[in-house]
Amino acid sequence: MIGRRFYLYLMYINAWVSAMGFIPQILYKNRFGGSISSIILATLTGMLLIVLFQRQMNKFPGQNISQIMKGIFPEWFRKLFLIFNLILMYCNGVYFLVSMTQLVKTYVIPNMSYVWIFIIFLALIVFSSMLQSDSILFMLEFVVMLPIPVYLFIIGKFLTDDLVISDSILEAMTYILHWPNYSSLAAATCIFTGYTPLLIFNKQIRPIPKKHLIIAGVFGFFVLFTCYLIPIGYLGLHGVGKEVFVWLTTTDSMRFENFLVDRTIFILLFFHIGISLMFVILCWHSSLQFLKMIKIKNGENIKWIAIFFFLVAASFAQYSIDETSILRFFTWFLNLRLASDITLMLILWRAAKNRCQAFVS
Amino acid sequence: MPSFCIVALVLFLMIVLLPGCAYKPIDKRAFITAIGIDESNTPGKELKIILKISLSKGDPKTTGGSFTLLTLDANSISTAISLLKSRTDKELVYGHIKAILIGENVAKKDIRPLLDFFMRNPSIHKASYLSVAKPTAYEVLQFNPPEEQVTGSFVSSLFTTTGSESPYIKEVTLFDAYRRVTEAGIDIAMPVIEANEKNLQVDKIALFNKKNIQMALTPEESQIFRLLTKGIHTGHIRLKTNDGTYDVDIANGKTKFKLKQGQEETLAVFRINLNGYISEKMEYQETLSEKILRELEMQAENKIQVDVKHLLQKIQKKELDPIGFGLRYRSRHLNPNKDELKWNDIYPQLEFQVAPECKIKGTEMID
Repeated sequence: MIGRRFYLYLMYINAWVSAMGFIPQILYKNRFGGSISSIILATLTGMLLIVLFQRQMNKFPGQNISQIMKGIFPEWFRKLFLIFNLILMYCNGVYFLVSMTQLVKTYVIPNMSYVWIFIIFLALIVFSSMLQSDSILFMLEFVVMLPIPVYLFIIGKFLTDDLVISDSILEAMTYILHWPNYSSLAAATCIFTGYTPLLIFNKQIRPIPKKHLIIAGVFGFFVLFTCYLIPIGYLGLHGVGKEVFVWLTTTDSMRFENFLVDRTIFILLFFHIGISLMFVILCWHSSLQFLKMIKIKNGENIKWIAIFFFLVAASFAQYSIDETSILRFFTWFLNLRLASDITLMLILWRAAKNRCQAFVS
Repeated sequence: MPSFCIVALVLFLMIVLLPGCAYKPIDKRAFITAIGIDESNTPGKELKIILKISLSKGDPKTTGGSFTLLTLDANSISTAISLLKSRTDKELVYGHIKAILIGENVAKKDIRPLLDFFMRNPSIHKASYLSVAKPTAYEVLQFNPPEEQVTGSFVSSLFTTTGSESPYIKEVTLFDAYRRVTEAGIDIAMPVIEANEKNLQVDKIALFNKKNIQMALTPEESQIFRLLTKGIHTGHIRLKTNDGTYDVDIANGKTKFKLKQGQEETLAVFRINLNGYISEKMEYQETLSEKILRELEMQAENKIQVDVKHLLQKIQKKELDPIGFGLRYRSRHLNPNKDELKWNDIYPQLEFQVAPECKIKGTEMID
């Protein structure tokens, strides 16, 4: 068992990676519609999900999802659910991997081919995702702590920059009266659902107190609003929808005159790539752990077969998904994910209820 | 044993990947510090692209940057850039571009395709400075100031706050210009660089609509424009009283504006705060009395009020909106899409109310 702070790291990495990655672009699709109200609704939903999840999980200290479901649900349902989660986590990783490859190709090494960048990333990710869960968490702590000063710089620059047009931000807020829509809601809620790796790591992390939940909720709220509003301040409410990498263009628009380098984008990129790869490692590690829980015969070999399939599917995804379609895929994925998160909550609730009844009788 | 194999494999991969890959060494690269776009003289070609390439040796002690200019006529910037690759032995690097100069004739046509190219290209810094070059971008880029340390830094340091801070310049960066093109209710204002025989001069601001240049402001108007938008720290006005002529340095000037709904018309209310010092007086006098200072403040307020109103009405007549009244209006009303139509009717009738508050704080070292 290790410290409770790792819960916050899990929430943090999910929130930042999603905020820097795709969430703003999906939300900007409805910026003249229900995005702002979706964000507010998502904040409420997200906080509710965080609290509910933890209340259920605290009834099963030190147990992972497989142990929780065992005996309460039929075996086929348990396996199906684990396989579903395996694929979900895997896909989550693949999307970020593919988008990271595109980003590195665009910004860092335009002369290098996609294939080589992809192979280098895969070599890192495959071997690290097979580490022990404890090691992954320690690695996570390290990766997550490093970029905090850069984020603070960016927030500070935003607050003091006179090139920010605050009227654009206010204009974005005037659309608050529109009804929320599902895809924006799903995208915004994603910031708060960083707790899902706990299905795996519940064994490692001690039960989490209420204080941590509040910190995580407030942090998610803060990240969600900053990731939506800061680019609008720089790029304008109309222009923001045209960008492919919204946050990178935004940081590239900031001029740090007295900083080490003029273009902070490269410092940010360095950390962003690191943190995203860490997230992919975390996702694939979770996938492998789900596979372990399913326990199909001869456990050790199956891992390598799975890795092989992982690689083939990832390469196929890399080959077939291009820059314009990745956002569409991601929107589908997030829509599915919100539904699956709610299903997960129902399963946990049911399990906890059965557990209580068993306890009483 | 298997772990040894893994380590060996990873090490092998690293060794294979380390030697440079697609990287090009630094001595095979040419760093472009400024880019200019002019109208082409060649028939059949629309644009003339000028790249200013730095030949600096990287020694900070020497001044006077040496450079070379690459020019090419083509119909688009991309074509020119790909053709230029065959005219140089080095890889052209666009990441260090600090200034983008648009020739006056190009600015009169359409600047949107240019902005599109620069925003699309990931290697170009989105905070690089844009300006209109007069008479042509080539002449501005060709100018070699002897005090310049790094090629192209002269033009960019005119606009930064770390270098000289002129009250006549309201700088515009690339992302800012693009945002003003896309955003409804705000237009571009861009400084104009003029190449004279011996120096470069930046004291005018050109106003654009969404597409091209519409009007140019005089230096005095440019100063007022900067006061209305960014605020000034180093301004200067000249006042005449019964006692003689005085020059006043403006140490700090800031403006806030509000849109107010009057009974029939919409009002734009400007609150301008100025404070300054007397820097020069033309006629000899014993001492400056308190009374004269108050009178000067009154004079300054009147002058600012007249000048600001005049400038705002001049801009309004051309139906330009570089200050962003439209955006302010949209941001203060729910459901802006419906209001947009109304704003186009409101703006020509917009009334301006200017309330300057001027404070002359002192007389510097002598009374």
